[in-house]
Amino acid sequence: MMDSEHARDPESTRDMDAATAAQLLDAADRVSVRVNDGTDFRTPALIQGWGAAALFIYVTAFLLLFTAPALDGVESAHGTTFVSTLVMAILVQSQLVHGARHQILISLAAPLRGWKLWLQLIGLALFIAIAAASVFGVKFGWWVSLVVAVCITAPLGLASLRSAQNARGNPARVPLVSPRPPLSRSARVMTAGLGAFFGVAGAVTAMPNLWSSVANLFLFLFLLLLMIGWNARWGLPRLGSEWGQRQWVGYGVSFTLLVALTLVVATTSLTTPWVGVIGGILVALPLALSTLRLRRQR
Amino acid sequence: MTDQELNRTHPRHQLDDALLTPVRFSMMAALAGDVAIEIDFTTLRNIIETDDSALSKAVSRLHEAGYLTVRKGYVANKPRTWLKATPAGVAALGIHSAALQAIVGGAISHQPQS
Repeated sequence: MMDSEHARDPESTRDMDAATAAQLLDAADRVSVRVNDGTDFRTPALIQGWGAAALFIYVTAFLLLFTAPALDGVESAHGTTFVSTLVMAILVQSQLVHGARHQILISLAAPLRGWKLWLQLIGLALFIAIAAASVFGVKFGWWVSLVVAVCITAPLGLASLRSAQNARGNPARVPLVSPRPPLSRSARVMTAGLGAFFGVAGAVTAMPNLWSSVANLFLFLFLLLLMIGWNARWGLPRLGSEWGQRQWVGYGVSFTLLVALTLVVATTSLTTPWVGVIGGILVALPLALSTLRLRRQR
Repeated sequence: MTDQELNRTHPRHQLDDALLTPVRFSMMAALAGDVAIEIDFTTLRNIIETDDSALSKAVSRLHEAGYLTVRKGYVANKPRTWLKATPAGVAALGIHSAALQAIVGGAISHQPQS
């Protein structure tokens, strides 16, 4: 069987001599050097760093939402609006980051291992336990949220620092990545649309009535549609793969403002339509501006 | 030791059929070096200095052997393929490289002393 395969393969080197073997080993060494030269450590460091920051904000906000004392006049149905707004934000984030990873031409495939993996698993277990206990009225101090958020995000943060160290030690000598092309029309529309989506989600949190719950349901259905069509031209991963620095900064600001608005509305009595409208516009603006600035540059 | 036993212990018997061509061996060397990495198809083609057709054939052969995984996606609406070595591929490359080194080492040890 092997011999017959060998006979069919004109490039086969089974009957190799020492010189051929040495040539192959030398070629492999040269290939390894080229791979090392072309490995992009900077982009993974940025993705991991931003991902860790977003996850920290999300977990802290989520647990603060659960552990904060309930406000008078805030109906439990509206409480679910706060939670679903945060869940929507992190689902969008995960899809965009998935796409951003596609920009990397050569990447290290190093999953979390050892104590870092255990720390994250313990953090996740605590996260679920606290969220579940809060449903049954158990109260926790604010510091518990911080500890859990640190447990979950510290391994990612450390991985990001390690990637950053590698980036500093191994600056890519071969420019494998071509200059980023301008944002396509569909990506510009989707980016502005995502800003509007976040804006409406933020506005809805400040309007505790039946219509806001209905609006929130439609937002969730829209997000579900986006996730089902993840591989489509208008899917979030493709959007993430196309974004440049401006869009990511715009997204980071919009994401943080949305989480902050949700927290403020959930823990204070600022549940008025004006707060919703102004807050929603502020949330949508950074993402919308990130497309306009790019258009001017062209 | 008989001639047949001598033949069986020769390091060339440790060579892996799937890694016998220079393109496939270089590919696995790129993908399963010191650390497991994932490389975009076009980038790998440039690194090992081959063409799309030869690389596609090599990918098919190594994928059949279970030595690499293929992931497809899009970047700004352009299709892109990423390749990654499997643990079986990494192990196979280790054995194959050791056999090559043994062949080279054997030749050096048999060289006449000057």
